[in-house]
Formats: sequence, structure tokens, C-alpha cells
Amino acid sequence: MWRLSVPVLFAALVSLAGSRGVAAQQVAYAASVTPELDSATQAAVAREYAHARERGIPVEPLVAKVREGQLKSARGPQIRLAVTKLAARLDSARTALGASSAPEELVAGADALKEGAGSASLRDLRALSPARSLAAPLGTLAQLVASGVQPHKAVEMIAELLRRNASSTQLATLGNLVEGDVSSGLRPDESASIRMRGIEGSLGSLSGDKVTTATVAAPPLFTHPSNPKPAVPVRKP
Amino acid sequence: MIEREDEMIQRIVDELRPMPHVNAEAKARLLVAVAAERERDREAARNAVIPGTARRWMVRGSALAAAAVVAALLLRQPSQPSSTAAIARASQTATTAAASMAPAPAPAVAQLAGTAADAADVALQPVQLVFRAPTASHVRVVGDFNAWDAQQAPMVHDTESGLWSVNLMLRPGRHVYAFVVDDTLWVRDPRAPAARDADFGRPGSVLLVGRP
Amino acid sequence: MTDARPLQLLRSEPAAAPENPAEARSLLVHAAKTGDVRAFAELVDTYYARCLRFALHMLSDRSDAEEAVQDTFVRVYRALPKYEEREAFEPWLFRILANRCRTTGARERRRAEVVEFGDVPERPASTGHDTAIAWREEIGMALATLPSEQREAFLMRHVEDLSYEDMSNATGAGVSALKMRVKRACDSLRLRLMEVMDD
Repeated sequence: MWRLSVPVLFAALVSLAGSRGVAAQQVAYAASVTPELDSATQAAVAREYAHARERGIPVEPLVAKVREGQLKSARGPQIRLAVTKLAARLDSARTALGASSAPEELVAGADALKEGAGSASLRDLRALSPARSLAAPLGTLAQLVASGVQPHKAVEMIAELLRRNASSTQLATLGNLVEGDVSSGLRPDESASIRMRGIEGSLGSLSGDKVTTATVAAPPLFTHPSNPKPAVPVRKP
Repeated sequence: MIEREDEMIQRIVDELRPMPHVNAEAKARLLVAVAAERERDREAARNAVIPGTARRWMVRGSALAAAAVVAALLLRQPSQPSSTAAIARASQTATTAAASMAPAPAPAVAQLAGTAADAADVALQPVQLVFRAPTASHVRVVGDFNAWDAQQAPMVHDTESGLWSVNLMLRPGRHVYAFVVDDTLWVRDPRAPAARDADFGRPGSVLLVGRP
Repeated sequence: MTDARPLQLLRSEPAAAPENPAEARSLLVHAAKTGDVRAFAELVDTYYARCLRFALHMLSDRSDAEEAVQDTFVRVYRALPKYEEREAFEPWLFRILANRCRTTGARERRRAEVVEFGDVPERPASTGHDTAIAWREEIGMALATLPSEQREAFLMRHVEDLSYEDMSNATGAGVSALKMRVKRACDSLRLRLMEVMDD
């Protein structure tokens, strides 16, 4: 293996004037990659794959998680734990979204759960929009919650946009704008409200996607812990 | 500052108030990251006068890399060098650049992020990633859009500029990516925001596609 | 932001600094907003240690804290053109920093799930420790056990000396809610550390 020569590296960093920060940054941002799995980890992830297949969970996201861990030189136990946790989230997403959900929907649902959205929210959004792919809406939900928007508010926003047939691109734009705003110092909920109004305003002039979304009555929304009824009421066709 | 006379709270505050030791290297990294932002602004301003669709591409500057980077990783060769570890011996800087600015020749276009289910619903958007690594043998981009598969998105090298580039068609939304140099070196784009990584503690970079 | 002057990372001494520190900071912010890289570097100098202190107490990890502070200043730089100088700079800075710490904090909470798998850390015993070190560790642990909103409010109020109004600007929470958070934080800290002292 090649190894960093630390004293030489630091001498070089100190000697470089304008570029020394860049050099230091290289050290900070770069790390060696060792893509090999130990046998115990191999066996563990193989069991996890088999278990996932039995439960009807897509294996590809688990394989991707292993690859990511390998690229990041993660230790075997870290990779095993990450795969196990992802499989559990995918399982929860499948339970909430339904067994016939597409793999990308389950991945987005698992991301949303990871960021702090509740399973009930996923169920509600599925009930609201049974025919449309929820991959993009759930991706935006995950992004909003990760940006600091209150989960219940984020779910309300996604539900409203689904009702109004917002396109996946419009949903993605909302998530990106809020994430950018929060990075710039805006309060998450404040940004979310403003950006939501902007997207809603554009819905009048821009065409939505060709999606089939259940038309629903006005709020009340969302499941309150004390109220086990579906939070988003679905109007029967 | 303590509203109630409270000796215990005062003792706690006294313990928490002293300023921490400042790591000069961390502070230098900060200034470099800010400088890179500034450089990006300047490139964006230059791009603004270039007409055409290139302005809509995801852009990051590359001039900083060309101007500022002298040497980055100094490596010591072991007695039995690994065949997989021929890592960079000179400057390498992660950067993405405007299509109009990047001199890299006709990079490969990879269709990566569109699933069949999304195809009808989502307009994929072109994104070009550019990475400066003149001495690397090969560079790949990995990210959630290609399931972290380093084989899926090799970058094309322009020997004259030392730039590696790849064109991707990505779904609008948030993506996380990094570069892998010579199969051995993980490099995240220092100018893109870091993407936190709860699983492995090694951040990638955030790419927001579809931000107006 | 787009002038063609060469990039300056090394600062030079300001020609004549105003004597009033608040006025000096205000001028500095104004200069940084207009694209003066040296002024921005001065701002970093002025606030880096404070930001790091806050991030360290919030995140309990130096590398996370340094990264949070770096990202914060990059975001400040990006957002400066939109920054309204009517708004006080410090609350604005702390708003960005607190947002950034919150996202890292969420990650840490998820990391903590690992503990369930058997790596429960031992509480360091005081015996054999220097008393001052043990006390510092206890404070660190007591602080870490606070809900993040309370920890954030306590630190802003008592360590960073922000007024409740500034805290409200920085967090988006109302003044009365913030007072309640600070009070609860104080109560919890007092209770926990009293127990330690009794032991």
C-alpha cells in the first residue's frame, strides 16, 4: 500500500503559501479506498440479501449500500450494520406503501423514514395517490425533512402537491430550493412556506404530469397519534 | 447574564465559556472552501455572458484548480508497491465546470438515473462533472445515481488540460457523489456542500439537479 | 463578488480600525458583503472560535464541529449578498450555524442507534481523574443528554450571551418558548450535576 508521508506532507503544506489550503483540503477530502470484504461480512450480507428476497424487498439498494461502504473503506461491521438498517427501513417502507410498490418508491420511502418521516405519513401519501409513482414525492419529503422542515408540515406540503398533480420536476425543485434556502440561513419552515407558495403559483401556468391521483376532500390531514384513522381521507371514485 | 443567582449554573457556564483551541489547518481549509466559492461565482458570471443552453448546465468553476493547486498528496512508495495503488503524484482537485468552459473533449454520456417508471414523469437533465487530476490513470464518478458502481461512469481524460469529465443525465432532485481515482482514492468535491453520511461517516458531495 | 482581483487568502492589517468594536464589526460585515475577501477573512477570524465553541458543545465531536463551522462560513459567504444589514449579523450567523449543527445532530442521533448493539459506553469514573477533568466530563455528558433544542437555547443564552430577541431571530422560536427551554435546560443540568456532586 502507498501511504501518506505525514511529516513530508505537513512540511509541504507549510511551505505552500496560496496553495497550502488547497493541499490541506486534498487531505481532508481524499481517503484511500480499499474495496474488499472480509469473509464474515460477505456471509452476513449474503444472508441479508437472501432474507430480503424472501420478504419481497429489492436487493439492489442493499448491494449499492455495500458498494458505498467498500468505496468508503468502511469496516465490515459498519457495512453489515448499514445493510441491516437499510433492509429494515425498506421493509417498513414496503409495509407502509404496499407490496406492489416499485423498488425506487421503496428506496425513497426508506430515505424518508431515515430522515424522520413516519410510516403513517407514507401510508397516507399512498392512500392519497395510489396510482402515481411516489418515488419523487417521497424523495422530496426526505429532502425537506433533512433540511429541517417539520415532518408533519413536509408531509402536508407533499400531499397538497400530489392533489394538485404537481410534476416530479416541480417536487424536486421545491426540495432543492428549500435545501438551498436553509443553507443560506433561512428558517426551514419559513422557506418551505414561501417556496410552497411559489410552486403552487406555478401550478396554474405549468402543466402537471400525466399522473393519476385520487381526488380528495380538503384537509383534515395526517394521522394524529391518538387518531388511528387514515390521516389523508381518500374520496372513493 | 444568569437571571437567577445560581452558583451551579455559573460553574457550568464558566466551564463552557473558554474558547476552544483553533486548528489552524481547519481554518485554512475553511478559507480555501470560501475562496473556491468565490471562484465559482466568477465563473458563473463569465458563463452568464455566454448564450445558449450551456448556461443551464450544472456549473462549478475550474479556474481555481488551474491557478492555485501546486501539490496535494505526497506519497511514499512502499517496498512492495500494490498494483492497485498507483495514486496521484501531483495535483488533483475535484471540480465541476460549465460545459462551455470545460476543454475536455467529447465526454461520454451516461444514462444513469432514469428508471422506466420515472421516464414518463421526469425530464432528465444534463449535468457535466469535471475533475482535475493530470497524473491519474483513470477517474470514475460514483454516486447514488449509479448505485455507487465505479464501473458505470468512467470519466474521459483530456491530456492537454489534465481534466477528466463525464456527462450524465440525472433525475431532478438531490444527488450525492464523489470521485474515485485509480480505483483507490476517494475524493469528494471540496466545493460542493458535504453530504452527511450516517452509515459510514465519510461524506460525499451534494448535487442539486433542477434548481432554477 | 465578481471582480477580477487575484484571490487573497492572506490578510493584511486594516488601515484604520474604528475604536468601537460593534462599529468595526458592522463595517467588516458591510465590506465582506460587497465582496472584500480580506474583510471576509477578518470576519472568519472574529467569529471562528465562537462558532467552533458553539458547534463543539452542540456536537461533542471536533471534526464534526470543524466541518459544521466550515460549511457555515461557506454558506454565509454564499448568502451575504442577500443579507440585510438591518438585521444583526450575529443572530444571522448563529442561525446558519445552528441549522448546520441540527443536521449533523440528526445524524448523530441516528448513529446512536449503534449503541443498541452492545457498545454502551462506560461512564468515566471520577476516581483517578483530576477533579477538574472529571467535572468537565460530567458537564459535557450532562449537556449532551439535554434535548438539542434546550442545549442550543442554553448555549446561545448563557455561553454566547445572545439576547432572547436575538435567539428568537436565530432559531425562529418565540421568546417565551426560548425562556422555557433555557429554564428546563438549567433545571436538568442542575439536577444532574447535583447528583454527581452528591456521589
